[in-house]
Amino acid sequence: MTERRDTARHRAVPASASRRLAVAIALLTAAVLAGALATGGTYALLSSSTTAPAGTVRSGSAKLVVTPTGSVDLQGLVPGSSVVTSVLLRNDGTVPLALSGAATDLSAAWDDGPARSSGASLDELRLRITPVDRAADCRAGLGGLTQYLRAWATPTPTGDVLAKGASRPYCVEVLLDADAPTIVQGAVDGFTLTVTGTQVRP
Amino acid sequence: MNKLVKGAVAGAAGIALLLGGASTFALWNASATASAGVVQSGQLKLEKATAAGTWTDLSTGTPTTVANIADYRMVPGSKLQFSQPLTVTATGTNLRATLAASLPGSDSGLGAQLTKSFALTGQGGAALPTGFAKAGDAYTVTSTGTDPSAIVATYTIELPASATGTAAQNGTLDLTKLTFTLTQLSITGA
Repeated sequence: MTERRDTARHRAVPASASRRLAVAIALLTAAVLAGALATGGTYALLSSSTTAPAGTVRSGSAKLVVTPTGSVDLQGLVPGSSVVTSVLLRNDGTVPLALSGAATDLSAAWDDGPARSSGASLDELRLRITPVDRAADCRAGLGGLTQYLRAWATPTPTGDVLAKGASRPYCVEVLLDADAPTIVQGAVDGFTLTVTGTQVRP
Repeated sequence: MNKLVKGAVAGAAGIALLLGGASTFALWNASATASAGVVQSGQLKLEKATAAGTWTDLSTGTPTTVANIADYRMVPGSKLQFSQPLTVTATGTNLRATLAASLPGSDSGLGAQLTKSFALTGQGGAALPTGFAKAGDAYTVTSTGTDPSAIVATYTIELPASATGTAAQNGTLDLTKLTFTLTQLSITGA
């Protein structure tokens, strides 16, 4: 029995030593590899770099706010007369905006019966847009840009530039031609006025 | 210790004594020193110059210094240029290197809407020193023996005037990690 224990002990010692040797070699190899990777200088080609803290660049924005945005009921037009309302335009962006206007979604109906001549009343209407100092200054007959309503279908520059952060009232006037035919009586016309602000090139 | 062991020890000591005195060898020998000189390695080094980088607004065609880039808001048509004075040391026989700019994260957000370009000039807008040549989007640098060279690296960003609608509005581009890197090219060109 004693001889078998001694024999087993002698066998165990070399096995443990070789394990320790293997572990030591592995650790040494790993350390050498880690050292090689950690030092860039061990790569074959030279390299140098520098970082310039140039800061942060931001872009601006273009934002045009129109007040009010709801529908406005303009009534009582007779040949040769006009009705007015005012809107306030405000540039909430960071760039000056060149303004243009467009009338879209044109519609025509009659409140006393079926349509008599589709769109005939629209041909007799003109739209005038005039910048004013105060909303209270809005009245008929101001000298702003005036076109027939159908011509406003194409966005038309007003020639005005709204500076960033600025606001300005505009007078919107709808005129019915003095020679409007009787067929337009009782007409109910509708349109959407869209004001677009386009950034002025730096 | 038995006699055999004692004999072996004595023999080994005798051999050691013989090895310790080289002059005791019978063969002649002589030596001479050749003065081969000293070999030195070169250097590749890129540093920011003392002067800080500056921003210039090129949008209107008349260059204008931007005092504080944090207050600037780019819009379509805006063109900004950052200028950073650099010092380049490139010494070494057959040394060739490439100098390039990189900006991590510049391909997303506002950066994706911008055109970006990198260029080198001499100081004060002068021509580049000898040894610098444009190669695509970067520059090659060769050892000239007159190092270090003072140059100015410019990084230009532009929001094209063709940008429309609301694209790129209220965006941000971080240029704090704008990096210029000088990397040696293989001598063999491989």
